[in-house]
Amino acid sequence: MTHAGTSAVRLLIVEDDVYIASGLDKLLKNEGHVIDIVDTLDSARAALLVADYELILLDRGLPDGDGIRLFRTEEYQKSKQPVLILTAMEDVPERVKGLDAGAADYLVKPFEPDELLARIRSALRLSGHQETNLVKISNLIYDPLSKQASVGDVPLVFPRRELLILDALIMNAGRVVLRRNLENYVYKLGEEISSNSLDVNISRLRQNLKKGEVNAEIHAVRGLGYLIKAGNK
Amino acid sequence: MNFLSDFSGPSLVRRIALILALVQAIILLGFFLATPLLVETPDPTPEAAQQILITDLEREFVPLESGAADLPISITNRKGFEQANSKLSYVVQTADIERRFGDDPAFRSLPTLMTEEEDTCKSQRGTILRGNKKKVISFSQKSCGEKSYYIAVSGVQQTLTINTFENAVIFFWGVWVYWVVTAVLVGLVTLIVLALLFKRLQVAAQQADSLPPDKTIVRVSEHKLPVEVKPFVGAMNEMIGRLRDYYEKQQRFAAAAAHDLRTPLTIMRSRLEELKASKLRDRLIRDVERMSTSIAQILNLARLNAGEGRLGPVDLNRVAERVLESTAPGAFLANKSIELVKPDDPVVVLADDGAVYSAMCNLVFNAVEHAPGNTSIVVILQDTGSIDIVNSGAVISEADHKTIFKPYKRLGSNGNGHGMGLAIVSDIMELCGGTVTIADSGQEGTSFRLAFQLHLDDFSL
Repeated sequence: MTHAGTSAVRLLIVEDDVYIASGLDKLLKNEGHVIDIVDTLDSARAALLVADYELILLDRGLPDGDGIRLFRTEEYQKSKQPVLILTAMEDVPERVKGLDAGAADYLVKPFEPDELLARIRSALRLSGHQETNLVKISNLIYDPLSKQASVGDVPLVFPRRELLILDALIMNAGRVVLRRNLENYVYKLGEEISSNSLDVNISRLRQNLKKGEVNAEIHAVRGLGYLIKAGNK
Repeated sequence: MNFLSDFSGPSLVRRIALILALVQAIILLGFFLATPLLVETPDPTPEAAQQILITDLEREFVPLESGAADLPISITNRKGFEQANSKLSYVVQTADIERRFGDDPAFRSLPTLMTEEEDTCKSQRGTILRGNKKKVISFSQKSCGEKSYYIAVSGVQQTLTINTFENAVIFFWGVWVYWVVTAVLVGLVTLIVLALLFKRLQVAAQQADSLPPDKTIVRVSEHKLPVEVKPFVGAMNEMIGRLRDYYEKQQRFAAAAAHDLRTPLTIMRSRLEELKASKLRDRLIRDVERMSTSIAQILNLARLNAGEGRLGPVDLNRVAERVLESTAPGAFLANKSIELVKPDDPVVVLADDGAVYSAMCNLVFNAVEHAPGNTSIVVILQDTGSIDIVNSGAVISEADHKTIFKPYKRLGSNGNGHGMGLAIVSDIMELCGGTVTIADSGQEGTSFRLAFQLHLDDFSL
C-alpha cells in the first residue's frame, strides 16, 4: 500500500537512531510532507525556533534526555504543535506520562507504517489542519478535501453514506475502524438505524468498488469493525 | 516484602514474660523453702533471747552466750534513734577472725558492707547505718563449733537493743517480701521496655513493608531504634540497598532490552516497506509482528514480577477490542479472518491491563499462525470473565494440555513452536490470579481459555 500527496505539511522528526529516522523520512516524504530530522532535544528546540511545524514526531530515549522534556521548553510552549510520541516504552504508566505531558498520540515501536500515517492524519485533523493530501491505496486515489475518489483519471461516484464509510475507512487505512465509530460518523444523531443497515451499506460499497475496478478490499472484523487494505492483484 | 510483616509466630514479648515469671517463681519458691533453714527456726520464747542493752558506749565488747551464737542476731536501732546513733560502729569477732564495721577509726580499715564469707563459719547480713537511711542494723550468725563470739559496739549515744532472734526472723521475711516486690517491679519494667522496643521494631517493619519496589525505594529509619536492634536494621537496610541496586539494574536492563530489540525491529519494519508486495514480504511483516508481540510479553512479565503495577479493574471488552484492532491487519495479511463475539456491557475483571493485553495478543497471534488459510479465528468474551480464543487448526493432544504451558515446549514437527510464549501467558495469568487452559473442544481446532476473577465493586451495580 502506498500513499501519495500533493500538499506539503512540515513535520519535525526528533529521533536519534539514524536508520529509524531515515525510514520515517522516506515514508513521510512519500506522503508529500516536508521533513526535518534532528537527533537531540537541544537541536529540536533550535529547530522549533527557526521553523513552523504542523506536527512533531518525538522519540523518548534521546541522547540528552527523555523526549517528553520537550513539552516543558519555552520553544515548545510558544507554538504547541501536536506531538506524536514514537517510543519503545509501552507500559501503561509511560503512555499516561506521555499523554499527560501533552502528546496528541502515543505509538509504540515497531509500528505499522499505515498505522503511523493514519495517526498523523488524525492528529493533524484534530489540530484543525485541513487534510489536502491525496491518499492513495493501490490504484484508488482519494481527495479528502473534496471527498472525491478516483481510479486513474476516472472519478468514482458513491451514494452519500457509502462515501462517508469510504472516507472513514480510507482516513484510517490499515487500522480497524470500530463499528460504533462508523455508525456515529455515517448516521445522524437520532436517526433510526436497523441493526444490519451498516452491513448493507458496506456490502453495496464493496460492489461499487469492484465495479470501479478498485484494487482495495474492505475486510470485516466481525463484532469489531472494518478495515480497508490494498488488494492482492 | 510480606515476610517482614509476618508476626504470626510466637510473640517474643510474651515468651520473655513467661520465662521471667517462671524464673522469678522458682527463685521465690526456693527462697521461701530455704527460709526456715536459714533462720533455723529459733525458739520463740523470750528466755531463749539474749537481750543486750547498750547505752552510750565507747567500744563496748558484748560477749555472746554460747547458746546465742546458734541464733541469728540483730541489732535494732529503734525508730528515732538514727540521728542519735549515727556513729554506731561494731565488730563481730569469732575465735580467730575479727570483722569490723563502722566509722570508729579503730574499725575503719575494714569494709563497711557486711558480706557473706565462706572462709568463716559465720553468715552475716546487713548494712551499717549511714545517717538516717536505714532503720535496721543486723547480721546473723550461725554456730561454729565451740568457738566464742562477741559483738563490739561503739558510737552508741542512746540505748540500743540487741535482740538475738525476734527481729532476725522479721529480717528474713522482710527480705522475702523485698524480693517479691523487686521481682515483680523488675519484671514489669522489663516487659514495658521490651514492649516499647518491639513497638519500635513493628514501626520499622511497617516501614519496610510499605517500601514500594521502584525507584522511590527508601531505607527503614534507624531513628530511635534500640542500639541492639540497629545492627539488624542496618543490615536490612544494606540488603534493601543491594536489592535496590539489583532492581535498578533489572529495570535498566528491561528498558535497554526493550529499546535495543524494538529499535532494529522498527528499522526492519520500515525497510520492508521498500520491498515490492509479495508473499515473502507479508511473511516478514508477520515475523516482525511476532517478535514485537514476544518482546511486549516478556517486558510485561518482568514488570509484573518486579511488583510494578498493582492489579486493578480492567475492562476485558475494551482489551479484546484493542487486541483485535492490532492483530486483525496481520491476520488479513496471512489470509485469515478474525472475529469477536462479546456482550454489549463491560466485563470488568481484576488484572493488569498491559499484561492481559500482551497475553491475549500472543494467543491470538498463535491462533492466526496455526489456523489453516482462509479460515476464521473467533475470540469469544463471556460476561463471566473468560475469553476463548478458538481456531480451526490442528487439535492439541490431551497429553500436551499440561506440558504446553511449560517453557520451551514445542508441539509437533512443523517448527512453529510456542517456545516461551505460552509459558509467559501462564505466568502472567497466575500473577493476575487467573488461569489459562486448553478447552477440550472434542472437534477440529483448538480453544485456549483465559479465565479471570470478576472485579465486583459498588459502582458496577
